Amino acid sequence: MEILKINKLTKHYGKLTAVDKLELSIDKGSIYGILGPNGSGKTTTLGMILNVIRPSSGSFTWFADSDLNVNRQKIGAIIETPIFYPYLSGQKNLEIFCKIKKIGYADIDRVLNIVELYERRKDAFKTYSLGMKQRLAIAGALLGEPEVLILDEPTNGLDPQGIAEIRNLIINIAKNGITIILASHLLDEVQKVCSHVMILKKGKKLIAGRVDDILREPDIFEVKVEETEKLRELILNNSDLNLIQEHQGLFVFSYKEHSNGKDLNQFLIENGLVASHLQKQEKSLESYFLNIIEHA
Amino acid sequence: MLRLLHIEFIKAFNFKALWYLFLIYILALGIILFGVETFINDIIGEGGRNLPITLPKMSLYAFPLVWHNISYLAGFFKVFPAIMIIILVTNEYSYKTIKQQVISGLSRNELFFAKISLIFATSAIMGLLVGIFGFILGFLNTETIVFNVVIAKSQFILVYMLEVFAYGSFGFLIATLVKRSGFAIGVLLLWAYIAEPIIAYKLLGDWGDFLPLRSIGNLIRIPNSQLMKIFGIEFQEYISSGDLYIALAYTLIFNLIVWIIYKRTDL
Ligand SMILES: Nc1ncnc2c1ncn2[C@@H]1O[C@H](COP(=O)(O)OP(=O)(O)OP(=O)(O)O)[C@@H](O)[C@H]1O
Ligand SMILES: [Mg+2]
Repeated sequence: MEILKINKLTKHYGKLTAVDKLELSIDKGSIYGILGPNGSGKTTTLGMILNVIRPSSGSFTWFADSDLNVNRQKIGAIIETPIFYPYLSGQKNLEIFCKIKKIGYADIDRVLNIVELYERRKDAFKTYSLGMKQRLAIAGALLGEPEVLILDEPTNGLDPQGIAEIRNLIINIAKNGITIILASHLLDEVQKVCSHVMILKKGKKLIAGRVDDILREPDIFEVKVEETEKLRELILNNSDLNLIQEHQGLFVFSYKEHSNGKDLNQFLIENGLVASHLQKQEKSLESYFLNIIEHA
Repeated sequence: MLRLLHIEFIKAFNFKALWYLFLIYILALGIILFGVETFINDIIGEGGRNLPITLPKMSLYAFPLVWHNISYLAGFFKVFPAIMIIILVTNEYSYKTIKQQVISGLSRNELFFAKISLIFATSAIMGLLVGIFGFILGFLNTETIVFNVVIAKSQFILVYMLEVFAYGSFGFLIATLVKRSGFAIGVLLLWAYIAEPIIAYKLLGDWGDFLPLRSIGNLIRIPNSQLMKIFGIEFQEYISSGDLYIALAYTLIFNLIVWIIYKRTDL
């Protein structure tokens, strides 16, 4: 089932186009990562689909339903920084959330326990540490067991333990079939939790799809040999090998899909080459991301 | 609507500065209401001595005159509820909570009507307060209590509520345009006590009566007092429907502008 459909969504700020004719479709149950360098339009996109920022043009539809207001209570969200009434306690702030979402106060204890803020619930928000504020924001997003969670840099300001906790929380929540849209700069985190990603640059979509599909590409190896001429020739004459870079005797090239170092080593020996260095590059969203951002 | 009012109540009830303002308002109102009578009676006493006729000694606060007199006097303090409203509206901008509420699921319309319910509740509370003062002063200063006389002219309290609502709506507009509390309060005071009076003075004829705050103030005109009768001046002792329409029109315009802003802007 389609949870969110975005059609040619665009936002101009004067001459700057923060989001440029964005198309996206998100299915129920997916964990959708939104990646992009600073200022690429992640927050602006999320702001628009949350009714906070008015789109310049284009449209979006939640739950395949045209009435936005009816469905808003089913969406929990955090955008960038935690926003609360500083003079109100965590508890009172969440009571306002409950009223907005038309639910009883009973759920407050549950979410405060999840983010481990129950003991501090009576203290004013302004007395919380940055990480505690962020936790309260997460608690607010979890109130009322939403069907969709939108998280814009949810681990901002958290300690390593807090980051790990949020990661596990996201994975656990996703198990219940909740759809999650996650914007983050922690690519490692995104790779660990997301089923899908979209990469933005200057408001434009570079690529979107399943993480597995995006990362399914030939493996990349680094090799050093004595006889560089011979290796270069071998690479050029073999369609299984694709030279990416050669630098001071270090060859970086791709070798056919799903191979391992052993295959390659065997292949080199058969061709009369002995490698003094052979390493498979880690296949990561991070290297993919850096590569696509740089070359787009 | 009650749900929206409840949301506003949580924010307002726990905000200390608001309580101080409210206490100052009650105190100032009390002092003026109880003080003015002694003051005016003293003058009448003084003036009466030199007059050939004896003035009937009649309290400002006897039923049913009390309703007109008290709501007129309370009108001088309607800037307090307006400031309270400005503070609560601008808080949403300085804390950015106006954005958070939409993120949490409030629609733009609900955002707007939450504040309308706040202004309404504020007017009701202020009206109630003045009503209570009116009853106390009325019972203290009327010799024979007759029910019909007690409630006659009590519609002035309702009109006072409208006056506070209209003035509060003006505050709402300024707060929405200016967004910062100190600045917004400054603009309100500047307009109310300096700019508008000057413009009214410069305008020819009665056109000054159509300026926003003055026309709101015109809802409850200066009451007749024994003092004024000495000078042979008679004032309007009723609410004219013309005044009512102008004030209502202004209230509508203020809120309409705010509503459009709430609907249109990025938060
Ligand atoms: N209110 C605004 N007025 C003008 N320009 C804005 C406004 N908000 C955002 N922008 C611009 O829009 C672009 C996208 O900003 P956005 O906040 O969506 O980026 P982001 O991807 O969330 O970045 P980050 O990773 O730093 O959070 C930026 O160039 C930013 O300067
Ligand atoms: Mg951002």
